[in-house]
Amino acid sequence: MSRTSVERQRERSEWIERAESVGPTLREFAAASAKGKTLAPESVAALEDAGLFTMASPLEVGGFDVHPATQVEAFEQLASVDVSSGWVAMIQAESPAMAASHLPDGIGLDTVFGGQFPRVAGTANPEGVATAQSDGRFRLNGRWSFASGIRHCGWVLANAMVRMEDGSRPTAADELPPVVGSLVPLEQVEVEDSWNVMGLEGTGSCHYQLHDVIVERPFMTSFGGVRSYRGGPWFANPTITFLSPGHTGIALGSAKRALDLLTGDVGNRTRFGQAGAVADRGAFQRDYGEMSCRYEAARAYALSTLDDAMAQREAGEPITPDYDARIRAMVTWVTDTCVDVVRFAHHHGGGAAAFSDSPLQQVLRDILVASQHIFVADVAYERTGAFRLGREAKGGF
Amino acid sequence: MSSTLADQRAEWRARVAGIGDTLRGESEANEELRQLSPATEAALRSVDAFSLCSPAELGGINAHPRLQTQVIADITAHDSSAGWCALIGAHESAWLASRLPDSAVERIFADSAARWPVTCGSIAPEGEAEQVEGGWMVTGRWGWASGIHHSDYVLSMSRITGREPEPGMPPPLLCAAAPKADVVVEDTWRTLGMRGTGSTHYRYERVFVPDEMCLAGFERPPLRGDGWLARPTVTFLTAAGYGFPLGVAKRAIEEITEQATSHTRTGQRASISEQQHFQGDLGRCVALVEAMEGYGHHLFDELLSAPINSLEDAVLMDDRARAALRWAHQAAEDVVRTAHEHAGGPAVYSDNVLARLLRDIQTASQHVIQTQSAYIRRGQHQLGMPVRPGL
Repeated sequence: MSRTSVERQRERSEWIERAESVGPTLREFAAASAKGKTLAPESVAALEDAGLFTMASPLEVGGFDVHPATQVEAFEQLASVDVSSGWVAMIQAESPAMAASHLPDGIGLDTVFGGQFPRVAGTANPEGVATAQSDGRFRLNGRWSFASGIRHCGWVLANAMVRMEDGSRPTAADELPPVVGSLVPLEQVEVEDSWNVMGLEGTGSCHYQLHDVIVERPFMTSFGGVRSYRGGPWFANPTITFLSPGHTGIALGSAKRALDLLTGDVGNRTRFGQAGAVADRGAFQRDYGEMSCRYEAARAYALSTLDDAMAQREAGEPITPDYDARIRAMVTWVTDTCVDVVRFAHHHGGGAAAFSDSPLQQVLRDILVASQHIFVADVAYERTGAFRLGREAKGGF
Repeated sequence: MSSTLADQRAEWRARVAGIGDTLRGESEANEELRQLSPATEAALRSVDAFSLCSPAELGGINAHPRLQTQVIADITAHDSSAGWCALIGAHESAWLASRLPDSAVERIFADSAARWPVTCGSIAPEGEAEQVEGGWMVTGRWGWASGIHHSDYVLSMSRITGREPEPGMPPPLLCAAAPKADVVVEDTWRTLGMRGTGSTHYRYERVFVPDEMCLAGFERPPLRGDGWLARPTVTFLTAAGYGFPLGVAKRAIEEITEQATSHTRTGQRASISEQQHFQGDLGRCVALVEAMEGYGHHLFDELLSAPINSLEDAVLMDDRARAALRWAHQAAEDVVRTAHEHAGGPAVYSDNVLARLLRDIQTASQHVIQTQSAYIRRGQHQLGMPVRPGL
């Protein structure tokens, strides 16, 4: 059911307030998170206590199924304090949402969501293999990457290609999907210490491995061709579109943080050999004005696109390929724009930004890593262009 | 007018679509004439384009800012010069209609249902005004009078003879509106682009302008009209103004989509449209245009209802709106350049629409309201620096 404008405004205020409330903790422990290569326990607890991991999940499992535009603003707020914290909040809001909407009714859903709201990590890329056993269960093996927040989660959602015991692909007669998702308790997962990266260090997005882990079907998704068993209209979206508010908010939050840093100490600094402060230079003022506009434009574009998209979902309109392409192009453009904003800010950071503990350098490293995510790759533009030309977009995503 | 904004937008979309063929068909004639052709002028008058921003009390539309953006964008997408003249005529008529005293507007707008009194002119203080019995004697030469050939009144801005500025204040200025018949129209409009706008120079040669047709300065609250009309002057100008680059960018995408399908560049086996790198550039341009629309939508809604409690609030609002307009022009330049580059050989000819759009957007981007100072002032606000009123 659609929210009224009053309900929408109330929801927006509440979730932005929740995001703001954890700011001091995230700020205090940001350096510790980066140093520890995973989010500090204090930051995880703050995010969890504020209910932020429940933001995107269906009401049926104790989530709040928050409007996608509000999700953008909440993730933006978190990332504007510490990008890694915002990123982990995004992953740990979205992963349980995916699990909750895709698991069938039964013991799997009851186990994962029956107690305290779960912390779930995982990756969408089906990098492992789920072998169908004759007893109806599956045997998981493989190595997965980019499991943000895995060190403090309780469950891992691992996607895998389905194979038969002889290694062959399932046939139509087997009535099995080509890819399945499995909820695996962290105790059965081998987490690698592989997250040695230039940015987003605090996200702990390590590789993990599963070795002959047996999973029963109630703990698995994708059977029966059902996109989502529960959740509101936003859950009808294809996966990448469903996840678009998070990446959008992280990019915007990074840009906001960079611009905020410039209005403080950086802008007031006088660079070596210069007569006045950085902020007194006309070229800097001009570029700052332009970047402020570009950030605002990106933000407005994101919110208006997701408002439109949600209205279409609430109206039950069909999901067309160009609808999906439009949203993905938006996320990509917003990310590209925010990368430009952060680069500009770092450029004016001067010598101080050369040191690893510079907040400006941190946010630059963070967004350069975030912008490598496959969901914001510029192939989204090619798909949009192809649809505009009335041509078939090339396969894949 | 229909009651809801959505209804009004749909109604105006259809209204402008109804003159689309005429506007497109007259583009070359506008360029050759270096002013709007009679058919273009008639088409704009037929849809009440020149009354788009004026107070409802005088028969104007007083459109919501988002509707202003849409209407000018739709007209511009058919023909840039027509779109530009529509926005200048709509703005300057509205300014006259909302600021002049009752006695003047009753006379000027007495027959507005039959013929809307279109206004043009420059606000650069290039003239001298001498106070005389019952009015002012104005002399001067101004440029940029877009649409002067089809206008009924011509504005001017002058310094006042014998009056010195107060310490620390700008010189006192007089804005005067004279019937076009009293004005000498020059033939100077030979330009890179926007050729059809007829934005030529004009002169007042000791023209007597009665007091009721004069105003002190430019920044003053309206006597009639509400909503967007009551926003600070520069802000007021930006909503319709934003439609211009948006319309140019939309037309560029329309054109390159068509030309890319029909044209195969020398040495290539497939049409431009089949090149993956072109598809990527086109997709980025489509996203950019959507960003322009989203930004305009959110910003004008916000500025329409934002409280103004001080001069600083008004200055900040003007500078935010100007900077957004500057960005929209840059975005349109990006889209048009990208489209033009992909179009190849056919786009070097003067009658190619993409060539015209490239010339038009480069020319329009030189307008003082969207110069780099818009960004500088916006940056100064962001940095917490004091910003004086002005451009």
